[in-house]
Amino acid sequence: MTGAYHGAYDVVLAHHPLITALPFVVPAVIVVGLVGAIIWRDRREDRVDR
Amino acid sequence: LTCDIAGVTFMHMLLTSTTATLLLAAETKPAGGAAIGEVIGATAGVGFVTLLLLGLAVAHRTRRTTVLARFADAAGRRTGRPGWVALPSLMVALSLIVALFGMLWDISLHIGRGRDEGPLANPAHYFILVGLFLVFAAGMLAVVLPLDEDPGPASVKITKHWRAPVGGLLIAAAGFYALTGFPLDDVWHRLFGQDVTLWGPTHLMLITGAGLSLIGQLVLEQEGHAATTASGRKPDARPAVLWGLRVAALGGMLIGLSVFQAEYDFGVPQFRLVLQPMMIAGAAGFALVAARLVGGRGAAVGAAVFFLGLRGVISLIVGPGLGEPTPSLPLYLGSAVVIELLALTSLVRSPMAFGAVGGLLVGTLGTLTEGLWSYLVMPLPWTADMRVEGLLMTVPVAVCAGLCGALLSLGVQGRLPRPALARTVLVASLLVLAAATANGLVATVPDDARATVALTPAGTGMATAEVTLDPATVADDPAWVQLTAWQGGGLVVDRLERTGPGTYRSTEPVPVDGDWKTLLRVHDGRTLAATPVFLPADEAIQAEEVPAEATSTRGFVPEISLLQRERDLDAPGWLWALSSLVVLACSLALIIALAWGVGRLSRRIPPGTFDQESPIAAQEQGLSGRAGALQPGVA
Repeated sequence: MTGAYHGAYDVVLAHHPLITALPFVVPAVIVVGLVGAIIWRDRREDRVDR
Repeated sequence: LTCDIAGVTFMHMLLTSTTATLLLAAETKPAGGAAIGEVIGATAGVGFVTLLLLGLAVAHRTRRTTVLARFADAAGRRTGRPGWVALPSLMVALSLIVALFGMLWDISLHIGRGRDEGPLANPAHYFILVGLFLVFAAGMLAVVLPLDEDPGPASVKITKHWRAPVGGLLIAAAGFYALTGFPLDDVWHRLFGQDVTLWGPTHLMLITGAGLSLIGQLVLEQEGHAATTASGRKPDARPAVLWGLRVAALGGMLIGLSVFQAEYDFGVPQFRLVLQPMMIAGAAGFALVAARLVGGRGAAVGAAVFFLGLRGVISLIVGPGLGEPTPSLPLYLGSAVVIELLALTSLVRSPMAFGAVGGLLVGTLGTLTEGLWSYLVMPLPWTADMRVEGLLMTVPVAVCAGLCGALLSLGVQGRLPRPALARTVLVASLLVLAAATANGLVATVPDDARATVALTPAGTGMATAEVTLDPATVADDPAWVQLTAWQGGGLVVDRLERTGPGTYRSTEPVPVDGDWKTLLRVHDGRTLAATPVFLPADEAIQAEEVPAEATSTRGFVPEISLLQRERDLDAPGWLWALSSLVVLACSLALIIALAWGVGRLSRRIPPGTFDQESPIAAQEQGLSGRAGALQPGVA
């Protein structure tokens, strides 16, 4: 992160894409991960049952 | 004396310009990064919404709440469809309208004001991101909703007790793909600088994901219809409602595919003009053929009218409403009428042949109507020099688009042709589109060509220009010789008046100070070149001012070096190619997922399930015993 002069005040800028991805993309990734985990657990239980 | 006065006034104008530039330099926009406060704020907001939706979804699946089910049932009752179709469909429609508004506003902001101060510093970005996030959420809602209902034979097993409609998965995938474009865009800007063009690879991901989510929407709609029929119940939706929903879905597809043309709509295309008719015919061939074959009589015209209504309203909100540059829009009505007329013939009973001939007519007659329309409303009307190359690009793309539209319509009606044929058509169409686009992107800059620009002050910070091209043959039969001033608080495009061989003059004053970037642009055949008239100093990208001089002679350079001043043209070519391949791989993954979903719907649902109320189905029932052009339903 760096500071940039902008008008009369300093603004701290986030430069890492992972930080700028936080607001909208990370929640979507978490949801997809959750569904993936549910599928994985279900398939594992299937294998154990068999 | 007149000359002296003009000189003094011009120096005064330049002095004013320099003062303004110095003041503005203190407020230089950063050329990368996002303000951390904006990141925290947006993360908190979206995090809260995500937690709320996740909590609702978990409570719904574990039967601790009926809130989602009641909302879904209410939406379903009003439209005569299962709740797991009706509520997500409504959410997709509203989300896409929000994203579309954001996209057009964003483009107009970039044209009028230049680059962003950061990915979250532009208000339009929030509309885009919220819209795309809600598209993803709508897809997941369709996945989560079916609890006691079977979402049909095309559904996908999540667990032993949970099946998800494939349409919901496709909508979520398209939304996810589009959202992925956002951090990739940030990576792209770090590697190659900000590419202030709509056609940046990661920008295209945002648009493509939004537009193609409607294929998932169409699949979801048909799944609901099929699930109701398979359960032994008669579909509740009235034919007029079904017709309207399909027209809206494919009219929405027309809107989504038209966003690719937006630079042309605003009058600041950074690529050759010959690409515009190709894109219009491609969008029309795909969406209008599919609309007519899925929706029946009047659906193609309905989709075009839907496009004109919604896109027209949003253009008016962005332009006169918000005071930004106003985008024009293609007509599509001529192509729609051609498709409707073609459907009156017996060809409509052979959908693939209908798609091919329909595409051909869209690429020729439809393009003719769009050419006339461009003279009336487009900021840069089509010209005679692009006629031959335009047809060579437009017709094959339109034919392939028509074939793909027919494939989509057959797929969602459970009548896809055998896989080898379907795959061949899809792959060949993508190759034809890629070849035509690649040809359109080839542009040259003439060696040793230059332009002498003589400016005459015409008000504070404004000037008129007289232009002499050297050699005059730079523009024999030009598509445009124009002065473009942008990013200084608006957009001025002045198509210059020819006064003699190689000489032109402006028809209105253009700004030449402050933040404005003013260029002389020439496009003739493959020539696409520009020379600066005035460019401000830009500290963030270490660019010096190109002053507006009373008389200047400057050489022509590739347009993107001036229009995309923030772009780092020194980045290694292999890195650019590798990054483009990553984006291409993501895009192909989405296209394959959509093709898989449509194929799954088509294979899993017995032929004849769909649309007994559809005019096409009625025609085909009247033709029982006659062999169709296709071999239906082969897995």
